[in-house]
Amino acid sequence: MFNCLNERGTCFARLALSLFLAMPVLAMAGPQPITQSDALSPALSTVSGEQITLAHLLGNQTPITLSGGDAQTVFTLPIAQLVQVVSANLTMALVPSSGLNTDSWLTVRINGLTVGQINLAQARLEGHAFSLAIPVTALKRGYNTVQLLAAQHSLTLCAPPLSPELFTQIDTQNSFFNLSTTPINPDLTLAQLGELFDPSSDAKQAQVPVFVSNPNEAEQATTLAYAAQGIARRFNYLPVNFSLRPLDKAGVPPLAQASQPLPTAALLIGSYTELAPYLAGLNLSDTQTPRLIVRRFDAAPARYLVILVANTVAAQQQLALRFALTELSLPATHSLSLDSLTVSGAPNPPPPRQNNGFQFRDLGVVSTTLSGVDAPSLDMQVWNAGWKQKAQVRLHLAYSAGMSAQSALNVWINGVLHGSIPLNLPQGGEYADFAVTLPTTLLTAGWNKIRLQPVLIPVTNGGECKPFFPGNLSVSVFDDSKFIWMGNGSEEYVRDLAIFSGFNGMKWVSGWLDGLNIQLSDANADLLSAAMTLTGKLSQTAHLPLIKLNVGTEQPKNTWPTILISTLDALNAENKHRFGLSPEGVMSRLQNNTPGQISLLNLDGTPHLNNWVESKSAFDLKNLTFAAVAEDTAQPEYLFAASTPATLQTGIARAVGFGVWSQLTGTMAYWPYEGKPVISIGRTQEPFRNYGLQRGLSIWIAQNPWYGLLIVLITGIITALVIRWGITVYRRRHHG
Amino acid sequence: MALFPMRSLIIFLMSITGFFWLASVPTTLMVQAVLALFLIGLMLAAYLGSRRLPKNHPIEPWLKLTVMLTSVFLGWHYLYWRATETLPIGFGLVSMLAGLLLFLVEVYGFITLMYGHFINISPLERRPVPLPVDTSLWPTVDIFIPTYNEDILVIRPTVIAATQMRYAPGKFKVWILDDGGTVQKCTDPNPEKAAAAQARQAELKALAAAFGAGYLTREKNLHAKAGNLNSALSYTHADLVAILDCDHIPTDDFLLNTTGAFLAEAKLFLLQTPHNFISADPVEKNLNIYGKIPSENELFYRVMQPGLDFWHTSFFCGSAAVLRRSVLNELGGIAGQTITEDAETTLDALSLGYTTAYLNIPMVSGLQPETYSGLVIQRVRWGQGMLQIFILKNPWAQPHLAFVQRLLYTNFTIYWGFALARLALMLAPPAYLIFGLDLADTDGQQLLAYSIPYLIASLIVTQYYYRDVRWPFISQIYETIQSFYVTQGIYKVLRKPRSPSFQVTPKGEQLNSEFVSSLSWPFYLLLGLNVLSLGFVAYRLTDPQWQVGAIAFVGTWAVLDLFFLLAALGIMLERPQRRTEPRVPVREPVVISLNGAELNGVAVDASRAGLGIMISLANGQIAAKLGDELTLLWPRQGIEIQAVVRTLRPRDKTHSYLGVEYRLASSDDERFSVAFAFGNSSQLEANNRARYGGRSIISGLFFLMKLALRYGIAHLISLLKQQTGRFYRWFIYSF
Repeated sequence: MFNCLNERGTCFARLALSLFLAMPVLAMAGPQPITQSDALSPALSTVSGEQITLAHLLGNQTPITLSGGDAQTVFTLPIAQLVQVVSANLTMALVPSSGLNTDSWLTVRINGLTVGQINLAQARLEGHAFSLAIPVTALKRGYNTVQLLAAQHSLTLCAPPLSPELFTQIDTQNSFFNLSTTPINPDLTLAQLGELFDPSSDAKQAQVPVFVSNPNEAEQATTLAYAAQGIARRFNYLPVNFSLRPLDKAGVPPLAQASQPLPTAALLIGSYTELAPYLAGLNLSDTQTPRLIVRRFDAAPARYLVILVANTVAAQQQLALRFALTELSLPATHSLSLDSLTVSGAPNPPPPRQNNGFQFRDLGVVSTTLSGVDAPSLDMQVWNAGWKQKAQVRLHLAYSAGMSAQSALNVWINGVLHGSIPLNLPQGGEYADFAVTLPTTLLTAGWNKIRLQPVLIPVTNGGECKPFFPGNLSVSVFDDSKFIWMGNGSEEYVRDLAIFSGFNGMKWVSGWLDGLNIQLSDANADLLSAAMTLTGKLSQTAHLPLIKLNVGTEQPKNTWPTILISTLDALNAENKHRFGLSPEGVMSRLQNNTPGQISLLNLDGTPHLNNWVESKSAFDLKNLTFAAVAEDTAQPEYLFAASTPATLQTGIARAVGFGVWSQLTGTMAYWPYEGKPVISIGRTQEPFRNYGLQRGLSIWIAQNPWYGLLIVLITGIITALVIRWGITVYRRRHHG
Repeated sequence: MALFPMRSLIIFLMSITGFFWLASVPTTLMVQAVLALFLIGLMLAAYLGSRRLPKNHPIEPWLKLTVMLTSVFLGWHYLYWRATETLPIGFGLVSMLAGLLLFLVEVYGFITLMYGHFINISPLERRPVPLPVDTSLWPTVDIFIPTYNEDILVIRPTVIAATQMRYAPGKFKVWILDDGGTVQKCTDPNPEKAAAAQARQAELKALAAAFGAGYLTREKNLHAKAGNLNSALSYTHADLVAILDCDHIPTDDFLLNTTGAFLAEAKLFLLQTPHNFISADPVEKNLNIYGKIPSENELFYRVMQPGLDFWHTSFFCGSAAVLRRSVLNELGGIAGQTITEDAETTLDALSLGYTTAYLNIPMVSGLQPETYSGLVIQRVRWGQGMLQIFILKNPWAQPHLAFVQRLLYTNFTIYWGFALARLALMLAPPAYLIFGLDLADTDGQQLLAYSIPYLIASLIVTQYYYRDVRWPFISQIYETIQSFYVTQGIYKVLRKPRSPSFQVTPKGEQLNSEFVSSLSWPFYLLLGLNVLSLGFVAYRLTDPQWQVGAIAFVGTWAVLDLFFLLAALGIMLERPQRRTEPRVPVREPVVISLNGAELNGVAVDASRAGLGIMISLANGQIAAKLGDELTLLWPRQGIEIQAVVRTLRPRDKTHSYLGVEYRLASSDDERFSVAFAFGNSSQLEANNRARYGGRSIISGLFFLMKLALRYGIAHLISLLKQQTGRFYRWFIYSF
């Protein structure tokens, strides 16, 4: 495997690297510490099996109910890019209605190909679990569209298609795909980096090691941040944890994953000299031009290296930026040299504002057509940083002809039906600017969900034995529909941690696309790793690269928004005070807020969290990672902090994960290790701190209405006493 | 005049500021609902509690403060919400302007609420100051009765009653100030007018001579009533001047009750007493509610003037008042820059450091304007005059006035903004429903949570202060009928502050038949708009773009306006008025000698010219017919007067009503008839109190609806007949 006799230096490096690379990149669980193991991964020919429930694919455990004569549901089955499916079958737990006759069938289509049919009447008689073998040719790597189509009848003739007895229910927890796969290691080119950084895997978080010559070098921080964006954006929505390591570090053996050896990728950044061992065999004639390379690492099959090689830090930075611009396609080669590398500019300028509003596309909503009898809803969420704001939604939509006059597009605000837009013209129609006012009564501080729910009803001919056409039921909502805030407060987007998870909707307001500083308290591998992880997540959330970026340890010399990544000890007293982490204040904040939120989480009375709070472990600063917003607008405005760099790195890795990132709201969030909840102190939880006296009192009274009444009573009594006293004095003076 | 030490003032201001600041704290809808429910409940408890407590109970001031502070809290909170969350900025220029105007109207309403609280916070109930036993120390009094063109029969009882007031003989003199018989009038180039003036002059001279009054006139009719009074001042010399409008018949204790205060307080310039009316105003007459509801003036004279008196800001109302001559001399006479010379004179006197007082005992019996046009003339004059005072004699620039006095004189002007406010409120529903203007950026839920509590609070406040003297929604009827013309009058003053001229309020007009007032036309337009907007309610409710809650709210508002407008039109259908000598309720046993029979009866109403008697006999048992002569005997007074039967009708199965016209044989008879009908202030007080008594808001609303539907529709029917008749005549004559 290694010829270490003649190439000693590089031999050790390659050995270390290969050993290190053998650890699984795509972990099944959360971030795992690198541990010792004593065997390389088994041969690639090993087949691994996997069971994926429909509940997992759909993201919830709600059964699927197929109702009506012609019903369907569609979902996606992701299959990792670098695997080969050996066999697949689908097991479905069905409960067909007793009213279905033998003409009722359930058809399974994958990627448009019918792979099986189940007679629903027979299924009811024979039991509830059915298994279908899926031909592997129907499956592809990446995202597979799975359609379940039900043709259901209760009568031979003239069955009304929307009769209630026409249904089949699918238990999503007990319905699953069984996939047997084997990893493959194709010789990927730069054009196939998307297969390497594959979001369609089943992992919760990707782990990407990054190797540089000196992982404690601050000078390369911005380069690393760009590179992290390049990888994270290719992973799309899958959270990525980066760990920075030295090139010459003696690594650890790979984690044994005997049943499932998976492809891995690592990122190397350096000069031609530093990376020479990893460039061997590529026959590069030019060792001056910056180059982007992808190669299979023969020393460890299915291991890949992505290499950014340039001889200067500035060139490395430009190269990394080019790597981050995933919009620019890469050629189908292993290597790309970039002679002219100046990349500048910003994403397309934001669309013009109208009346303190923005278009749906700013919220990440694209023009969408919702079709069918059970058309899905269009959901979006909007951040309300103001107190008692109201807003207006101005919809641009169009609908098809032939729908019943009862058709409508319902507007729901935070689960409350607020309005209904009629889609009742038989010839179809369009609303260019349909205004729906969202009153302050329905909008809450923080995230607000707006749902546009289509209710599309076909025109019936009335009664049985009168066929009608249930098709052509469509309504399109266009992304130039507007959302307009009316009143104050929208400028306060940046004053809340929710900007991290809602960045897609706030990016035009935050100013981060005009420039962002990430300031580190120290040039430390863990802190640099944390910065990479954070930057990668930000670019994923924005769906845009953060081009104007400055990452380093020095105080920024510009006025861009600044995120500080620091240990607690490295924070000066002023910043501790600004972020509410001063020694005298932080414990009271934790103690005031944690029990309340724990009690909300623990509605079922699970004791372990209560014990955790009561044991004071919840307030152990050594275990906590903090995210906070400064009280003022001076730099830095945002902070991630923990007691040690390692804790911080782990903490940020957890923060960018599924379900955690969106919990970062309010002025401070803190979380310990895995298994314990993330506590966010919402802006309204500390109303006086965040909103000033009057608005703070308003919020406090909203939370404590009876105390508010008491205050009004007491104030009234005092005022009455004062007035009475004044009248008495006047009467005595002027009327004896 | 410093009211409080500085430290106390600071504490006071801080407390008030804190209260208003707290009322400005925004709330969620849920909190607003809870707060409103609680405060309304507290208000209601205080209101109901105060009604059950005896007068002057020690806890009463605290209940008043509860009502006051809760209404102010709700009102301020409402206005703050309106100002910060509902102004229709961004809905187009027209909507924005209309919405801002509506908001200003609401601000105006809150200001008047605050003024109402301020005025009524501690009313002063004075008692008459007794005169010394030694009558030589009593002040001399000239009693001026200015007249211009009123019927002699209107003036006659006033002169008679004035000359027989109980006072030290020789210490008072009654003067008829005849502006209808001036030299200028008597030598009018028009011989008919000159002859009429001369005849009038002769009549009034004879009247004066017959009852021992003096007669004064002057060369020219300059400066109207003020000029007339000032001319008289130059011919008279008494210490005090009592001014009585020619229809204000004084009681016999008028001077006894009023002059003592001038001996007790050297700086007193004016003692005003209530204007008490014994005839129906056009609202009462045309809606047929005279005697059934309290008189309109009671609110001002019975409730508000005592409140103003507490703040030393009672003002001269032109009649039923006594003034100190020395101050008048110092002022150069009655003021004449504005057409409300009375209030203007008071301001001038206050600016010299003098004081005023108010004695809340009705001691005159006067006549109301009888037609809608007469009422409009009167009210427009008052409104214009008050605005003139503010523009020409800015109370904030006058010396020696206390801050409170300046504030309240500002209120006297601001009050007249009600006309514009009422017009704006009537135009708001059509603006929204017909023209689709967004007057407020809100929805039905919020309107319910914010505006309804404030509305209820305002109604409770009105009931609390004025329940006994003003039924619910009656004020709005009065405002509606004045709205257009007072607005017009105010506009004229704003354009040319010195231009309005004094117009005498017509009294004693005869109305022989029913007719539609020619001043009704603006209200047809308003009614038309209102009805159209109600039609649009139905149309709008079918349009999904519109908010049902807001439509329902504005629609209800429009329905209420409809009732106000119909009631207003009912008032503008003038009913016949056949009696010019008003009657007042009395209660006195009389004996009737009629056709040889002696009947015992009780006099139930009386005028200068006649008597109404209740006899405990069925109608058929009384041997009398119309035109029979009879003798009336007042056993208590020992007076006999001849009379003739004019009315005889059954009252019920056992009582009959006999109406007689006096045959006054002598001036003594006439003196007695006047004294009997109008001379007793206790009787006047009792008559007024008999009309007190409130109604609940719901009951008041039903009363309004009944009046509106009955008399408003009658107006429209009459109008239709009139127009149909005109068209028919035009058609006949044309073809």
